[in-house]
Amino acid sequence: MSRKRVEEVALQRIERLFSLAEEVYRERPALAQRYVDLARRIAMRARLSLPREFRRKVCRRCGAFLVPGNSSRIRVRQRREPHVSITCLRCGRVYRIPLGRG
Amino acid sequence: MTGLNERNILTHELIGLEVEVSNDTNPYNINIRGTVIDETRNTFLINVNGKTKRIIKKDAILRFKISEDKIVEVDGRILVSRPEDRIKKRIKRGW
Repeated sequence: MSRKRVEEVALQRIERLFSLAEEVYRERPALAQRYVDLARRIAMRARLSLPREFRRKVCRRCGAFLVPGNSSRIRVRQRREPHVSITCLRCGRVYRIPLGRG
Repeated sequence: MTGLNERNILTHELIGLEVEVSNDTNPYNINIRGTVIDETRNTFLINVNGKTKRIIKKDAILRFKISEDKIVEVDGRILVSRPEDRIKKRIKRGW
């Protein structure tokens, strides 16, 4: 199968797994985590990086599925450089997304 | 291009699909219907009205609902492999 095909199917699978993860998170967080792990493994196998929207829903250090208010804390910080900070509440890692000047 | 179809089902995501067991070496499993909730190398976990059933791939023939009006029957033996490994290869056809 061509590289293009593999990539295409991989992206579709990743999308589906993330949407399923969001669906089941409330009821079964462990299953949601399993879907996210699978999505990441599929990305790895297809040698793709996760699309940005999904990258921000997963902790880079521990792989946790980040749900704002539940497994992650999101704050807008104004001081010094304005940025959004995302804290993983499982491992404590902090991510910063710079906000450029607006 | 397009989403899930009968050509790419072998490499596509099966979790979340509606499925029916059309044949199985375990007669109790035949006609089980439900949603695939997880997949391992050798089995599927299927949610059947709130109960979870584990179906052994190599022993079963499964019908997946890939869209509103399309159902595909697949021999479980060709699905034996980890879900993330299924995405590649598979050019040879065993049927």
